[in-house]
Amino acid sequence: MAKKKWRGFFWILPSFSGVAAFYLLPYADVVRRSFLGAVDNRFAGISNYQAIMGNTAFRLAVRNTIKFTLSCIPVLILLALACAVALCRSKYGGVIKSAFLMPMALPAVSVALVWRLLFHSQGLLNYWLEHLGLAGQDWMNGKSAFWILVLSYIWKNLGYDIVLWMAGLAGISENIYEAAKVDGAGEWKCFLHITLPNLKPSFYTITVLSFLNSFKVFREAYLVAGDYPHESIYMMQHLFNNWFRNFSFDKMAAAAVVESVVLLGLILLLQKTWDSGAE
Amino acid sequence: MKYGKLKRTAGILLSAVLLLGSLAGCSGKENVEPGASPQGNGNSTEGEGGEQAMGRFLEDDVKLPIVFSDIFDMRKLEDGTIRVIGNNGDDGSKTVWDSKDSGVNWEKAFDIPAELEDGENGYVDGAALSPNGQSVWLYNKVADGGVRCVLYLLDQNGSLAEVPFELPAAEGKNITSSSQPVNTSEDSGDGAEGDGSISSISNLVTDIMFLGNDQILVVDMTDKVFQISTEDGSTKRTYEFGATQEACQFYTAGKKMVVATSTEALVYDTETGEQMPTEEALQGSVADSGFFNAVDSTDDGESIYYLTGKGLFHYKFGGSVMEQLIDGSMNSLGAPAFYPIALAMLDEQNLLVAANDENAEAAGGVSLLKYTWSADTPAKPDKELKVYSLYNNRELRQAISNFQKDHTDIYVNYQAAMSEDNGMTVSDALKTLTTEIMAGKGPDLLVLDGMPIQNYMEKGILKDISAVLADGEGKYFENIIKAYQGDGGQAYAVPARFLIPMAQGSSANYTPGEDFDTFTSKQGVLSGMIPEATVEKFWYSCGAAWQKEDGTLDAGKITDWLTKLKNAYGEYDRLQEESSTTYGISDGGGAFTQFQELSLSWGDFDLAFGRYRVNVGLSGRIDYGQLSAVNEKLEQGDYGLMPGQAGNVFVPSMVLGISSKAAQPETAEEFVKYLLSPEAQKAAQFGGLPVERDSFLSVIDGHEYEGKDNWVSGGSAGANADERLSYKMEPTPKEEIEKMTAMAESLTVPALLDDVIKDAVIEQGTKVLKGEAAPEEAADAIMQKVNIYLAE
Amino acid sequence: MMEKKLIKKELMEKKGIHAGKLLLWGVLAVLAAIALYPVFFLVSGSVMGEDELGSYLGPVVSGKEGYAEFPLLPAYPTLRHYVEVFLDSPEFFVMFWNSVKITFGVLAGQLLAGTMAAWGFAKYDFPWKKGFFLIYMILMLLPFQVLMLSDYLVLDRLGLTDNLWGIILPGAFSTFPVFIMYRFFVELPDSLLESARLDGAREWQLFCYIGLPIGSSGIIAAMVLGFLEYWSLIEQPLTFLKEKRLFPLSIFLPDITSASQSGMAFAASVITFFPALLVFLGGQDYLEQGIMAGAVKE
Repeated sequence: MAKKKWRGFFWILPSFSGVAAFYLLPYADVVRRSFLGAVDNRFAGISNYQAIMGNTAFRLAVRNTIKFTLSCIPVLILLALACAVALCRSKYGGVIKSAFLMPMALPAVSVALVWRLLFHSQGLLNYWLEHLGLAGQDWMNGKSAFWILVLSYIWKNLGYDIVLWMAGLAGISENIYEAAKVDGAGEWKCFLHITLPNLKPSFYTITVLSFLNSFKVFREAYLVAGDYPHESIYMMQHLFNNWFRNFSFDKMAAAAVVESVVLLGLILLLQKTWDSGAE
Repeated sequence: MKYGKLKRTAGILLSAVLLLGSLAGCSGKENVEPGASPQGNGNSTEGEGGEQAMGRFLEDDVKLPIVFSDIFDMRKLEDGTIRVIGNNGDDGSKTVWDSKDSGVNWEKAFDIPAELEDGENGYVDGAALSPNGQSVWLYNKVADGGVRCVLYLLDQNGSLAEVPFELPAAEGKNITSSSQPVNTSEDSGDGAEGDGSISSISNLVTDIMFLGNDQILVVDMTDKVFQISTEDGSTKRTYEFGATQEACQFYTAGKKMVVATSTEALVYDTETGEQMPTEEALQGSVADSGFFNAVDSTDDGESIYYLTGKGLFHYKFGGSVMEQLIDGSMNSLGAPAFYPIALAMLDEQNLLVAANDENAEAAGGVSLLKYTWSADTPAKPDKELKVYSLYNNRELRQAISNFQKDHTDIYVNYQAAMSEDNGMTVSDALKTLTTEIMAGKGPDLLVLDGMPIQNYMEKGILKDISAVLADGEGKYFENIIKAYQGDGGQAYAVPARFLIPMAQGSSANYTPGEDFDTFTSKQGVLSGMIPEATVEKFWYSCGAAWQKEDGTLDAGKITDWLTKLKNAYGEYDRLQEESSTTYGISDGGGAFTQFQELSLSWGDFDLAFGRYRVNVGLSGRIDYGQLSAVNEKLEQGDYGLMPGQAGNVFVPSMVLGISSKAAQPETAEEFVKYLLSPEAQKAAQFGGLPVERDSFLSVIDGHEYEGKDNWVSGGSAGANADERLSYKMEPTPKEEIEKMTAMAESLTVPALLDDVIKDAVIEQGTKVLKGEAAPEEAADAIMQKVNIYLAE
Repeated sequence: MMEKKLIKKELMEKKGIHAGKLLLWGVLAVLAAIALYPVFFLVSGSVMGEDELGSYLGPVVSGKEGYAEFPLLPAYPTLRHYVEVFLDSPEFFVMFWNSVKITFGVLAGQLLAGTMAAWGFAKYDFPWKKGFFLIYMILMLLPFQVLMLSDYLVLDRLGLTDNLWGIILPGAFSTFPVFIMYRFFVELPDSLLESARLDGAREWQLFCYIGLPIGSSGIIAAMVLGFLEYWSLIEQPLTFLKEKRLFPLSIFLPDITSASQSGMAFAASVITFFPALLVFLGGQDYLEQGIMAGAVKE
C-alpha cells in the first residue's frame, strides 16, 4: 500500500533529483549565506536582512521592479486579449499572428543591437522625430528608459500572449454563443457574459507566464544600458548582478530569500483566485 | 481525425529528431577537448601517464664578444661552427664572429671589405648566411635620387664579389620616401638616411636568405620572391605573393621555401618551383600558435624547427603532429618585447636564439640565448602561481619571463582578461573573477588596475602584504607605495608603479604649480583637445577632491568642476577634433596599454605645432629629450604637474594585491617582492614609473644615451604628415633629474580609481564639453548613477 | 460546420460593422508592422554594404555628427557580411555548434526528466504533491541571479564549470517544461487510465502508449519554448564558461565600433535568428494547443 502511495513520486524522482542538485541545494546555500558574512562566513544573524531593508539601492530596485511588473503585465494581457478577440474570427489572423510572434524568436543580443541603434541620442527614433519637427532626446538616459523597457517587453511577448488567449478562446464551445444569440444577446454582451468568464482559467496561466517573462527583459536592459542604467530601470537583477560582482553575497542572499518568499506569496494568491474561479 | 494523427506523428518525429540531435551534439564534444592546448614537452610525451613528466629546456644568456646593435643572421655551419653576422654597436661597423664551442668562446672570423662599410653612398640593410659559411649582404646604394639594391657575396673567408643581379622595378608601385606613414623612426645616424635626398624608390629588397650554398632567395617589397644563383646572378624562378592581403614571412629549410602568414604556412619545393600539398597539421598549428619568427632545420628540410610567441615547435613534413618543445610562457620566448631574429639548432637538445629584446640586459637590445635540455627538471614546474589582471600588462609579462628564468620550480600562469578581443566587458570579467575566487580557484596575485580596490579591501578579498614591504624600507617613494596603507600599517594593495598627471605649455598658458581655478579661468586654454580624453585626464587630477567624509560625492563640487572645465575648454569644434593628430613621438609601435591615449606624449605634436595651447596627460614614462624638444617650439615652455582640485595627485598603476584565498601565498609574496625589486622595476615600458627610487632614476636619467650620438626624429601621421620633431638623445641634465624627482616626491594624493564613477563622469563630462548638456544637468546625472552605486 | 459560419457571417453583416472592422484591421496591421520592423532592420542591415552602413549608422557607431538613418532596403545589397561571418571567423562555427549542443542537450534532458515529472504530478497522488509542485513553480520564477553563486559552487564541486555540461544539466532539470506539460497531462481523463489498468497495462505502458501520444503537442510546445530560451541563453554561459571555445552563439556580438563590425553583427544576428525562426514557425500550432490545454475547462 505504501508503495502505491508513493508510486507517483517515482515519476518525479529523476527530475526531482536534478532539481535538488541544481536548484534546491544552491537555494539552501543561499539561505545559509543570508545569515553569514560575505566572505569571512561568520554568523551574522539577521543583520543582512536589516541591512537590505535600509539599503536605498535595494528599495529603488524593489520599487522599480514592482512598478515595472504592475505597468507592463496588465497592459500586455489586455492588449493581447483585444488582439486575440479580433484575430480569432478572421481567416487572415494566422498571418498577422505569426508576425506578432516573430520578436519572440529574436535573440536578446540582436534585440539589444537594434535597441541601441533606435534609442541612441543620435539614433533612428530621433531622426524620425526630427523629420516630424519634434525634438528628440537621449531615450535610454531619461525617464523614457522605463517606458522603452515596458514597450520592449510588450513587443516581445505580445504574440505569445495572443496565442495563449486565442487558444483559450478556441476552447469555448460555439454552442454557448449560439444559445445566447438565440436569446437575443449582442456581441458585447456575449463577450462580457460568456467569453470573459470562460477565459478565467486561461487568465491564470497567462499571468504566470507573463510574469515569468517579465524577468527576462533584464537581458535587453543589461545589454543596452549596462550595470548602471538610468535609475528608472534599475531592477532587482541589476542589483543582484552588482552585488555579486562586488562580493556582497551577504546582502545578495538575504534579498534572494526575501524575493522568493514574495514569489511564494504571489503564487499562492494567484492559485487561490484560480481555484475559486474553477469551482 | 486523420489530420490529427498526422500531427501527432509529426510531433513524435520532431521530438525524436531533437533527441538524436542532442546525442550527436554531446558525443561530438569529446572531440573538441584534445588538441586544444598543446601542452607537455615533445621529448617526454611517452611519460605522460606518470604523475610528473620530467625534462624541460632551460634558458641561459650567452655572453656575446661585443655589443651588437643588430644581428642579421646566425647559423650553425656545416663544420659545426656557430657564425653570427651583425652590426657592432660601438662603431656601427659590420662584423662576423665564430664560435667553435657552442657559444662559449668567440673569435672574429675576418675583416669586412670596405665596400660594405661605405656609409657615404648607402647602407647595409641585411645579410644572410649559407650552410657553408658564405654570406650575402644587401647594400642599398643611394644614387641619382634613388636607391639601387646591390647584393654582395662574401665567401667563407671574407673575399667579396658582387652578385650580378638587378632588381626589377616593382610593378604598379612607385613609392616616394617622404610619405612613409610611420610616426616613429629611431635611427642611429646611419648616414645616408634622413638627409632627404631620396626622391623615389622603384623597388626594395625586404629580405634575403640562402637556399643551400649556391642559391639565394630575394624578396622585394611586393612580396615577389626571386630565386637566384649566386654564381651568375641569373633568376631561376620567381614566386608572387603580392596578392595576399596578409604580410608574408619567408624561410628556407633545405631546398624548401616556407611562406608563413599569421594564418597559414605554404611550402614550396624550390627545385621544381611547385607548391607542395598543404600540410594539415602544420596549418592547424599556425592558426594556434601564430607568427613564425625564425626557422631552422637540422635534416636538410625533412623537418623544421620554428619559433613563435608561444615557444619552439618541431614539425616533420608529411607528418600528422606538430610537437611543442618549449613552452614560451615559461621563459623569454613568450615575453612581449622579445623578437627572435635567428634560430640555430645545435643538436636536438641544444639551441641558440638571437633576438631583439627591448629588455635585454646587454646594451644594444640584442640578446643571444641558449636553451639546453635538462632531463632532471620537471616538465612543468611543481608550483603554479596564478596572476590575474584585467588589462594586458607588458611590464608584468616581462617580469614573469625573467622571474621564471631564476625560479625554474615556479610556473607563472598569467591571465589578462581583457586582452583578447572577445567583447567581454569589465563587469563580465569581474563577475567571472568573483565566482572563481569564491570557489577557491581564483588567482594568487591580482593586478588591481581597473578593479574596485577599495571594495576588495573592505570585503577582505586581499591579504595584508606589509611584511613584504618591510625589507625595502627607504628604497621606495613612501608617498606612493603607501597609497593604500591603513592606519595600522597594513597594506592590502601596493602600487608597483605610478603615473604623474603632467602639463606642458608656454608661460602664457601654463605656469607649473598653478591651481585648478587659476588654470581654468583662462578661457579656451584647453581648446582643440579631444573631449573624452580631456575629461578623463582631469578626472584623475580632481576626482579625489569630491569625496565627502561618508564616501558619497559632493554634487556642488562636481558642478563647479564641470563649469570650470567647460570654461577652459571653450567652444567645441568637431572638425578640429577630426583633423588633429594624436600620435606621440615615442609611444608608437608599442602594444596598446591602458593609459596610452592619456599619455602626455600623445599630444606632443598638437602642442608643438600650435593646435593645443596646453598639453596635459598622464606620464608613465618621462623622456626629457622629448619634453625639451617640445619646449623649444614654445615660447618659454615649461612642464610640471597638471592642475587639479585634489592637490598633488598621482595615478597608482600595477597595483598588486594577494588574494586572501591564494593557494600559493608565499610564492605570491616572493613574486611581489621581485616586482618591486630593481630588476623588474627598471623594465619600464609604458605602464608607469617605478616606485623604487634607484629604478626611477635609471628610467628618467637617460644613461643609456651616454657617449652616443643618437638622434630621434619623428613625424606625425595623417593630415599633418609634414610636421617633424627631432632631438638628440642625451643623458638628462642633473637639474632636470632633480626637478622630476622632486615632482615625484611631492605627490601625496592617490587618484580616485573607481571605474563606475569614472565612466559616469566621462560620459556626462564629455556632453558638457561638447555643449550638449549644462554642467548642473550633467552633475545631476552623474550623482544619480553614482548614488545608486554607492548605496549598494 | 458550414451552417455555423453562415450564421456568424450574417450576424456581423447585420450589425454593419464594416467601418469599425477596417479600422481594427488597420490598427492590427500597424502593430504587426512595428513588431516586424526590428526583424526587417536586421535582415536589411545584414545585406547592406560597409560604406552604406557607415554612412547611415555613423552617428551612433562611430560618433559622427547628425542622426542615424536607415532605409528599409539597401541600395547595393551584398552578401559580404555573411561571407565574413562564415569564412573569416572560424570561431563562429565553434559557437554555433556549442549552441546546438547546449540547446539539444537541454531539450533531451527536459524530454526525459520533465515529461516524467509532469506525468507524475498530473496523474498520481502522493504525499505533499502540492508542496512539491509549489517548489517547482517558485524555482521556475526565480531569476538566475539569485542562485548564481551557489549554482557555480555546486557545479564546481561536480567539476562541471568551464564545461558545456555545466550549462546543459541545470537546464535539463529546469522546472518550466514540467509546468507546461503538467497542464496538458492533467486534462487526460483518469477513466481512460483506469480502464487501461483494468486491461492489465503497466504504469510505464500507460505513460508510453497513452500519455506521450496524447500529450505530444504539449511536449512539443514545451520543447519549442525551451529551444527559444536556450538558444539565446546569455547569463549562464557568461558566468559558468571561461574558455572562449565553449561560448555559444547567443553571446556572439562583435563590438559595433565600426561599420564593418556592425555589418557582421547584423549578419550574425540573422544567422542566429534563423534556426529559432524555423523551430518557431514549425512548432507554432503545437504551441497553441500545448500551452492552453488543461487551462480550458469545458
